[in-house]
Amino acid sequence: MTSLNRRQFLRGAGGFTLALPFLPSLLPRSASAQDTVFPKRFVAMATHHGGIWNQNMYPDLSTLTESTAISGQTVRGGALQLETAAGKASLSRVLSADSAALTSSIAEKMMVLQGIDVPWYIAHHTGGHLGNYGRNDGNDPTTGITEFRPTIDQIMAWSPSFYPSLDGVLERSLVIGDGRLSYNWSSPSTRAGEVQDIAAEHSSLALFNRIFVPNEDPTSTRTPVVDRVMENYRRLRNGNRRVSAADKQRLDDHMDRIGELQRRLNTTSNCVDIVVPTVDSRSYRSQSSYPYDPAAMEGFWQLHNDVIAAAFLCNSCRVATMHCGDTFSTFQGDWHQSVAHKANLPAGVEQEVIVEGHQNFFEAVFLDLVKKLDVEEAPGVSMLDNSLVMWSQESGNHTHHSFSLPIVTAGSAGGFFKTGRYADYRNLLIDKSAGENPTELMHPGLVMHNQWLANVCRSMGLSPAEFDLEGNGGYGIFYTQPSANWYCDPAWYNNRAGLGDLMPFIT
Amino acid sequence: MNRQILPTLFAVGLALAGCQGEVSLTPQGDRPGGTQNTNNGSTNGNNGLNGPDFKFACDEDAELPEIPLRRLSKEQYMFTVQDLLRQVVPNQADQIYAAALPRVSLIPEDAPQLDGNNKHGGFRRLDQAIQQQFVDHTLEAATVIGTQVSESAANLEAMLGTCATDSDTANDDACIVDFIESFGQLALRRPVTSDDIAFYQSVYADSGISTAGVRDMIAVMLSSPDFLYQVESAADGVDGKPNQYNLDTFELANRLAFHFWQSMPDSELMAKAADGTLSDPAVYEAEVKRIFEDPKTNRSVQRFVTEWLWLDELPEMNGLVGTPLYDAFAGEDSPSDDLKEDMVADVVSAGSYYFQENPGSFDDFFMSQKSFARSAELAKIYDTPIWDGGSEPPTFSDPTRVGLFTRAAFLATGVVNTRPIMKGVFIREGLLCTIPPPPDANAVNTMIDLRPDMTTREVVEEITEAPGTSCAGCHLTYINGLGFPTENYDALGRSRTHQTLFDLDGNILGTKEVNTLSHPRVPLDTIHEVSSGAELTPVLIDSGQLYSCFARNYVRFTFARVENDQKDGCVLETVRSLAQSGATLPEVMISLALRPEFKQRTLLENP
Repeated sequence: MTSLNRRQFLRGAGGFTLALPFLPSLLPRSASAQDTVFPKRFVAMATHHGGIWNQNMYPDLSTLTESTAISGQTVRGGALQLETAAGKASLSRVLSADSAALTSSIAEKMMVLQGIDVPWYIAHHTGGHLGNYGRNDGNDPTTGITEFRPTIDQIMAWSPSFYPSLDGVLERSLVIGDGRLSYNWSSPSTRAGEVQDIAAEHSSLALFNRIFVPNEDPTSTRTPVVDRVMENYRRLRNGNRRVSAADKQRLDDHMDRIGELQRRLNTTSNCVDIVVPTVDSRSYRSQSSYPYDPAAMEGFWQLHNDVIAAAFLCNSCRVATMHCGDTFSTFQGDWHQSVAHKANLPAGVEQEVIVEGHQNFFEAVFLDLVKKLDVEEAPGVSMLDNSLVMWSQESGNHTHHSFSLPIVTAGSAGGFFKTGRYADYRNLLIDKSAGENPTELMHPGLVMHNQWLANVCRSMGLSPAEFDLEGNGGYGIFYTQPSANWYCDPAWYNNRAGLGDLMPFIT
Repeated sequence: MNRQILPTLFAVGLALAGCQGEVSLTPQGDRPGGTQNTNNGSTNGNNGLNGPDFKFACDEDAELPEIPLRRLSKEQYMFTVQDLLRQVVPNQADQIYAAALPRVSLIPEDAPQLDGNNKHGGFRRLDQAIQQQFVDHTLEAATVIGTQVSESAANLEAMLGTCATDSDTANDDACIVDFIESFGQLALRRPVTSDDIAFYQSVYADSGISTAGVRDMIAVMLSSPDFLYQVESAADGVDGKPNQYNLDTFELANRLAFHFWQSMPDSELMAKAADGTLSDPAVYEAEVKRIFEDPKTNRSVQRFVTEWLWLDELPEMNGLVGTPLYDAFAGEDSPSDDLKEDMVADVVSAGSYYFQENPGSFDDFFMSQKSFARSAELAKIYDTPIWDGGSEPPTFSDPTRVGLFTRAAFLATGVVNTRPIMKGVFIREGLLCTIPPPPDANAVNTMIDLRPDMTTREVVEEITEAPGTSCAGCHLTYINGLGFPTENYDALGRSRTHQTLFDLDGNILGTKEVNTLSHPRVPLDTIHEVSSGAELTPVLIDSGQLYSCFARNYVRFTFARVENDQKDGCVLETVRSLAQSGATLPEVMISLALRPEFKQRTLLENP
């Protein structure tokens, strides 16, 4: 843990420096560090494809020393065992890094989860990571789900439980990267309108500016322009001109955002002495070699990590999502066809490319942010401890199959999760062989993805009334295909846990 | 020679039986229970099978689907800000816009989309999401523009007149009111009412000529719903259609301008809106023609052609340059950074040429053998002289390079292999509007690899046409027969008779003659035999399905929503029938603007 006194300094790769007040000073004046419930923060990182073999993604099965039952079926858990050799620390081949970065302290704050399923053929998707299961490519040949729902990050961002106070909060959430990951109602404050994609930001500098560049002089006596703009929209909505109900909804959607802008303009950053970054992430992505330059990818994402960490440190934001389509590999060509679709060739050539790419992502992006968040905000408690950083992949150990989607986390969400754990929720009584590699079996999970997301929501302080939109106890639409087919058998999921249940081993 | 060999429903029945998830053969309109989320409330209810002859049924009594409060696309916003400034401060417009550009550039890009899950067949205009950044950055840009005007005496005088800078304070109040009326009519794109004047005077909130007051007024006007959206309150109702209304002349002027110019109306159009003559059919038609002939219409033509034909999806051509295999394949034609854009420009220029500059029919555009290659690199691929952009374009040297889909942008892949499957999918979905059933998910993990002794086609056939597999039904019915006829072009679009076979290190293992003999099913119940793009083209043309699909796309683009076969049947049929009849593309585009549906909207106060 990085222990900082009176003032903390964050130095990012972009060269910007923030002079930060000691975090407890950001808390309500009546609170003390000892009796204060610190704000929770949530980061979701989503990467493409998956397709990583179990032996490469997960810790050794021998670490699963405990067992319990979910609806009569055995599941396993155990403590993460960090192995260190020759300057490299590892929990698995993918979950490995320089030993100075992946320390035992960090490992103790991580969870590795196996056996969490989307029990139907969602295939190419980006919405599955955070609960908008309808955002897929419509590949289910039967019915599937195409209805959209907000994602949990946006439920948090607009939750009064998550943000009991918006003082100093300049952005409710940061949506970064390749888009189509975060969704919300077009009118978030009223939970009304269409569910729409939240535009993602590629520029770390633009993101920084939205948070740290001070608003205009608040001493002006003139009515703020934004208030006049709001009034203008109300004039149309409530005036004499004929507008349809759908027009009014569109005006409401726009006014919701004006309202959010008004709120932000009346909010000041908790941080001072801000030096604007000298490097923008777009300078990396604009390089023609970017698609096969892991170092440039590292630069791009670490600059965003800097902004997230700074925003969290300053209490200017508590939610971030990062959708990363980068391969973190030097491979040139069609990754989807030439690598992801060949992930299971027994020779393992393409598998090695995938392992290398995901290990790079783990170390350069996931661990980089985890380290940046692991700064003390009260004696013995780091900001990471009060956060949950989650890395999810599109597919399980077979590309496009959503059995056992790997989930890697850091932070206990303020003690909600028992960290330092590896949990395997697969039902080993059922084998599903697919693809070219008969030894790389798939076992359906006993924990549904909806259940995991509900646990995440609860860890962030949300009540079921806020997140259980479907009334199923979990998060998002729960769907199983009506009958068995090549992909899976709904009978496999008869013994699944309740979608609203707390998950064993980690809670 | 193309010949029809099996016009039988029995054959397609066999083929479809092998498909996963057969398509419906019935026309669709509103889909009950609408499960598809869209940003404009429409459903993608078409499958391209709108009847045996691909005609649409026109129900003149049908009410149009509603288009609620259309937001300007980012491109429309940018053009509108620039055109507005050029109208009011022509000499300072570029400087003022340059100051606002850093804020404007932060507005999120619109995503080409049909609905939330599908981009094919979609247009950026259909992305009607309202993003926080759109609201934030349009207000910031408006404030910058207000500041630029108000803090420069020259700009202030140019925009408000000398009353803003003279020493006479007695005329200041009138000066401000005049400004609200004059600038307001341009920015709001409608007459300014007394209520507006009172509101903007309250925004001004100062006496005399106030820098802050002018700044704020401009900022609020350029952030107003009238500026950022196409507000259509409509005029009188349409007989027999209780929820359908005629647009007023200003709303009509806006529709025309944003449709054809991607921008606001010019002064001439606004004048005809103001004096009401735009409601005179003859005046309206003349105005539509004038607007169409304006060079600004090329903005819409280029946007339509680019998105209709999936040109945004063309990959970079130089991504693999420097790798042994690709370098061996490309040889002396190693692609530059610009080749992809050159290929896109070839198609877009063809669009501009036939849609506007040298009006031609849909068939002329589709079957054109003219090269619009303006770079030596692409001209070499086409084996033509470089086109100078002004004179008559040269003709392809290869007589079989006939058909839009034989242009390099539809052949090039950025890798060594051609992609006959994707070529077939593009023609089936993009040009014929038939969506093949999704592949068996087991199959999508299958890679079309280089083989030492097989052409790409042979590999595709081995994988997708094996008897008894779920792949075969769909690939034989929908895809492969459309992708194979152009296998006489390589992955850079170069003509070839043989495919060079490489190993992964770029060593040549041999050559093999390419086979273009194919059996496309167009329409699905008719099997043809063709051996080239030149032979496939008339098959597509003769089917009538091309025109139907073109109509769908153009109607989508025009109304910024997915078409509804029942409610939009009249406009769809207008476009389809004209395109098939040989009318010029300008005639087709103009005809839609002349339809009553273009001049009306549905407005549901209590849906």
